[in-house]
Amino acid sequence: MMRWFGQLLPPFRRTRSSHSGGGSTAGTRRGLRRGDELTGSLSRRVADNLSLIRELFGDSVDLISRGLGGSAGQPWLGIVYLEPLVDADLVNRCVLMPLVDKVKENGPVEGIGQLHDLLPIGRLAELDQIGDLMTHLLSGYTIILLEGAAAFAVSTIGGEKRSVDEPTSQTVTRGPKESFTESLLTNMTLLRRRLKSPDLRVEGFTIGRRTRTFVNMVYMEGIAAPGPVKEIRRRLGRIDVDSILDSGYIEEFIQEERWTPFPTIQNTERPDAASAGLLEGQIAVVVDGSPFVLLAPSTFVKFFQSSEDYYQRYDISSFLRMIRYICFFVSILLPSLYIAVTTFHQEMLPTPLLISLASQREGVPFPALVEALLMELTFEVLREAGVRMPRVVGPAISIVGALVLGQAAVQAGLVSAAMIIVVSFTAIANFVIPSVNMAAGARLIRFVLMLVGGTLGLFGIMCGLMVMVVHLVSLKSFGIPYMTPLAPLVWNNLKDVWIRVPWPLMKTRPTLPRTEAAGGQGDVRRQAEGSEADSHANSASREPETNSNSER
Amino acid sequence: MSQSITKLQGTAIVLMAISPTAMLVVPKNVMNVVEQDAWMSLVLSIAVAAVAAWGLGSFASQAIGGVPYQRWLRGKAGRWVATLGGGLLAAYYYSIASVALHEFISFVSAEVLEYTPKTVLKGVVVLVLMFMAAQGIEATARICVLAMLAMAPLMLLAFVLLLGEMDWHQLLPIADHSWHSVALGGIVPFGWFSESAIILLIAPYMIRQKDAVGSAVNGVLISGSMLLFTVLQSLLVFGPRLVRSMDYAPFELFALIEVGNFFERVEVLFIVFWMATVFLKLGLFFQGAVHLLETTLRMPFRRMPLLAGIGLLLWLDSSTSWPRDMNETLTTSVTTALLFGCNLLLPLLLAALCRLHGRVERSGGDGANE
Repeated sequence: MMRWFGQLLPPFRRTRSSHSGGGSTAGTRRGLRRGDELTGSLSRRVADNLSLIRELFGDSVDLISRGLGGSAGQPWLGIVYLEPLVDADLVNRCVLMPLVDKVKENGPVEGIGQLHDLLPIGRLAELDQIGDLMTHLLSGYTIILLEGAAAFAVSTIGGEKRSVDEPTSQTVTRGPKESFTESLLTNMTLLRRRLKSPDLRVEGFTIGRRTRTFVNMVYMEGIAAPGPVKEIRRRLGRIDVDSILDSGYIEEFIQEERWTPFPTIQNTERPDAASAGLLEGQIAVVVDGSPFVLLAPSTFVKFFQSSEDYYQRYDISSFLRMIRYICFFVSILLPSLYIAVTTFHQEMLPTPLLISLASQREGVPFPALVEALLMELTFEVLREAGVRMPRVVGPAISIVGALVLGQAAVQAGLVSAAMIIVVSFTAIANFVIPSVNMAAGARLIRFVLMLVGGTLGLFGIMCGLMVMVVHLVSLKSFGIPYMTPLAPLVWNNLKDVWIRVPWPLMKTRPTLPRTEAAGGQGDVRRQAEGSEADSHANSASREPETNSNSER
Repeated sequence: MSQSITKLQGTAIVLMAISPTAMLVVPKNVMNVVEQDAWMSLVLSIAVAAVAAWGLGSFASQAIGGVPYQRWLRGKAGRWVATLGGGLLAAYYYSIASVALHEFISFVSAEVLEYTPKTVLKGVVVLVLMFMAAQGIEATARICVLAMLAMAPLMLLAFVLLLGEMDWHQLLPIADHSWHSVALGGIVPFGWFSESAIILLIAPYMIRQKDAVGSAVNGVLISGSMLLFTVLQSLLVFGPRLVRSMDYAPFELFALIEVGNFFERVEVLFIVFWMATVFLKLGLFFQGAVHLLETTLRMPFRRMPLLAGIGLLLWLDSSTSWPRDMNETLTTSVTTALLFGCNLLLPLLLAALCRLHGRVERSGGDGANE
């Protein structure tokens, strides 16, 4: 396990120091702090190191630092850890007890060799830089300081964390029910369990001057294209920010095009979806503290694929997928079309329908555009209130929305019943889009199209759509055209776009363009089976292999 | 610009350069000359146009990948010829974009938005064209493919829905006109097919320059087939006399379609799709002008503020050049002459000058060696 933890920890040298200031008294006094980065070597004396650490933490009460043996001013051995971050039982059993016993019985511990004999732990990380020590300490490691030697870090990561639960935003009726959590380690475990392949590569980064958030870039060697891998590595390495509290921060930093309503990076809280993405050549970015894993490069059609499409029969999956595309267009177009037709092109409607609509709108004091904007904005307010309000009062919002604002508005003659139907159906259609990001983009585009539809009718909508399509085909996600495989057309990948063909007919992997291996899925399965067998055979004696990590 | 245009995209670009406007102009013009034998004129015209497209494609395929046409011409025929040729072609593409924009907005104003000032509509279209130009030819090429793929099912749908309205006797008597008249009837469509010369600008950005020949010929054949299909449909449904009196025969066709009692004016949907294809054509020609200006004058016309400048010019030119609607017969004649001149004669002349320049250089080199 130690090795894995070691791999998960990023090197301290990757942290950035872009501005100065904010150094503690101790750090400033000893010249250890340069900007936000701590530099300098550790002392060979336990007392000095203990005192330095205490000063750096400003005597925080959750910092446990203890000297053992020797005299009060000159202990032989020091133990330091942050209480909220460690597994207290593990620290007591595997670190404190053996060391206290040793010091009591035989005097000082001499060197790493003796520590290895004493501690029932696989691997010790030797540290001689203050920066490395702080990184390990803040990650839940217990630091052992030895007189005459530098420091050693023992993984005792613990603390409270949420257990693996069901996904909340990407639910399925059939398929795995696990979701990612806020723990990077747990998330990596969930991925590793599904992809038992030595080709799974994990590269680590520490991003955020203050938060020092661990970020892992995960991809399948031989499947992911080298270009996007290199590009994501470069962009992650260039992020210079104070804090990273969620993967959303990373998304905005690394996405190709900022000025677009369309998401170019997927996020998922489903380990199975992330695994599938990795097998299709995508690169995952796992951020400590976020249950949402980023997947890139992502194309437009990926946002309409649900995990469930691949778990249930192909016929119903294909049908539902087409429904989703239709709903996307309904979601962006229906209100604007209604406005355009009722305002500019009434001749398109059959006479009975036209009379019915006209009679409904007779007492409405607003033009169709204003009426639609009013209702859409009301719905957005209701939606936002529903999300922000405490769960217990949630139903009240539905009642207020449906009865008070809907029915009463019609009865008062402020809006027509037809408009209520249009807005409601549009909202429901928007919920059908599997990706929340894409659904949000559709909501924004809807307002723009409503405005152009209300001022220039179908011609305006056509102009708006033309701009949207030109924008869509120009977008790229890490060098991959966003509208692939539709524009540019990649015939071979169309089997998983509008419909999902049966698994036996999906002879080749639906890879993104420019991926290295577009081999048969059979090959992949065989590889997986092989590695699974190896893994089972060796599982008793072997810890999970993580990666060949070039970054660490 | 990178070399990323595929053969299919090249075909779609040629198709979009020809079809959107030809669909409106050709049926009426051909039937004016040869009535029910219009399809024969069209077949003849397609055959000749395919040969011309092959010639243009062959000339275009000599381009060097990634090197703009005008710059390539500079190397082949000298600076003055390249500057003159580039300038003439830029003026041609610009003027076609301007005329097409005016005609397009006249149509929109007459059929869809009669109360909105044309100047406003033109301004909106110019903004979209500027956005398209800023995104580059690759984006337009991709949309052209999507539009091309959508065209076939739409035409088939229209054919099926109109089947009940067709009368095969409208084609009779076959070959009632002389070959001279049939050939005369093919001139206007041939002029429109010569728009395949856009391949000269596209070829340097194709993945394989050799594909330019296939793209040009396929583009002409597909657009020719679609035109033939439209002309035949118009003939079979309305007969030649009615079509001659119609300004927009294809839309009159679609206007006959009724889906139950629900949609009464389905042609609006077809019009919207057609408008999208016109946007593509305008986008292609506007980008052609911008690209040629950029390479001839060596100024970044694809970027602001020069792009805004040329957009503004197009808007003002298109809004103020025609205080009244144009004389259609005169316009068609002038346009056809312009098409022949700039799409066929000018490339022919440039090809000849390239060859001549090459010979002069070779003889000069030989002389020096001697």
